[in-house]
Amino acid sequence: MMSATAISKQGPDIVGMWGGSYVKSLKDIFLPLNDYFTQEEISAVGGWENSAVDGKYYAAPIRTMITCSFYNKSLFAKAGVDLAKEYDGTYKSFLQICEKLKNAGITPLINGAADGWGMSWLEGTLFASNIDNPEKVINDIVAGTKNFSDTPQLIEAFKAAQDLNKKGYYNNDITTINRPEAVTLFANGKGAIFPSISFDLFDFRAGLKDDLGFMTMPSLSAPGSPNFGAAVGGIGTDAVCVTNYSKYPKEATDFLRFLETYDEEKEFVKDTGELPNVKGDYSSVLSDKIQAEILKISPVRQFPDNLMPANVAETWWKFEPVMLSGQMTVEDFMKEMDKSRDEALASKQ
Amino acid sequence: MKKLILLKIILIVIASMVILLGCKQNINTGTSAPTQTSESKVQETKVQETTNQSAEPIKLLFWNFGVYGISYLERNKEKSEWYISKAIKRFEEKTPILQ
Repeated sequence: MMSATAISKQGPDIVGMWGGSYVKSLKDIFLPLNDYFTQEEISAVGGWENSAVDGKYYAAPIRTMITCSFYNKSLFAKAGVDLAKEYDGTYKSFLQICEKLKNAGITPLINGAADGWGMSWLEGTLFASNIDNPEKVINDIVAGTKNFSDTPQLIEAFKAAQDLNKKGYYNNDITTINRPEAVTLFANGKGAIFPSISFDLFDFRAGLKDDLGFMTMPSLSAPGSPNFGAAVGGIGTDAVCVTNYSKYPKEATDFLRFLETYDEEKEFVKDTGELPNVKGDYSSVLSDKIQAEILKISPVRQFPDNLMPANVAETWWKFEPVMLSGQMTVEDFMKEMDKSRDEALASKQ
Repeated sequence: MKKLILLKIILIVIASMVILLGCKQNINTGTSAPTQTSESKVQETKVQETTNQSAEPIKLLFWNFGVYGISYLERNKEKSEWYISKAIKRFEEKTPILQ
């Protein structure tokens, strides 16, 4: 659709869209923004690299998403789980809590994998907690200098995610329901923990009220590691772009500069409940106290699937339920990912 | 010669490409209705035409592929109450430019 409008040069001046690989794939129709923002303005905003190609910024980044877990305080109490004492942020302590919940007759974890992408957040987080510079690793794989199947930290992360289902911690229908359905289940008190993301907060709060608690995602690395406590998502995951055929590039980019001011970002956070990507203090406009906890999470790495060509990310999502159910090994899953990557590379030649 | 440039940004909402975020959920009923669709549905914000005879209007067209208007706090609001609609209004008020 965007490409067609570019040919006719009668499309939009400004486009708001998902960032990362989506913007990069359309870079030929977007205006590089480097010369329209001052260095000071660029420094005040996080996430420019998400949609950058060869140092050129093809989008003004907006919004921040951070993976995290939410839990049901009543179900934890029923199982006798004391989060502060029993959870140290490691995958091992996460497993122990799940086991305790299961033994109490409570479904420890809720998720929906039929649509694939929701599970990618836990898997991506486990991977990010387990390796330095995960973005570079994924970029190298996408470029063909590495493979998914020979990256042990990726395999370990996916096996850790798969094990949670093998151990019977998830809702029985995880591989057949999609993520929004799982959100509804958790919000209605049907499970104890949802490995999730920041923007689910308000859906869960509406359902669980004061029973809603926050915990970090589990890490595969040990406390003290620079990657311990890592999340994925991204600072500035979404994108606002200006088309390079716009008759009014100055006015259009002036609007983007306006959106990226601290005053506007405060309005954005207040009106939407989303998290900011412009530097500043937002404590006065946060809608829920858990948001402040989420903003403390560090480091926040990029969604790995957002760094991949669309067909590779879709392969991940397509095979996710099969892999999670144990009908496909993680090693075979990685081979399918490599095959898709090879197809993406071949299509460029 | 000085000319007055009046800026209007037209926001168009396009329901496509929204893979990660385009699911409207109803917690109470358990239903979900993904907004992802292969066919783009375009809804144009009604904007008042600029008719000042001494002015040369600039219109910027903004296609929103689900970036704005999808958050929990906004999804049941009228589009005019979305953050981006209000931001456009603030920008327009700030930006009639006398050149």
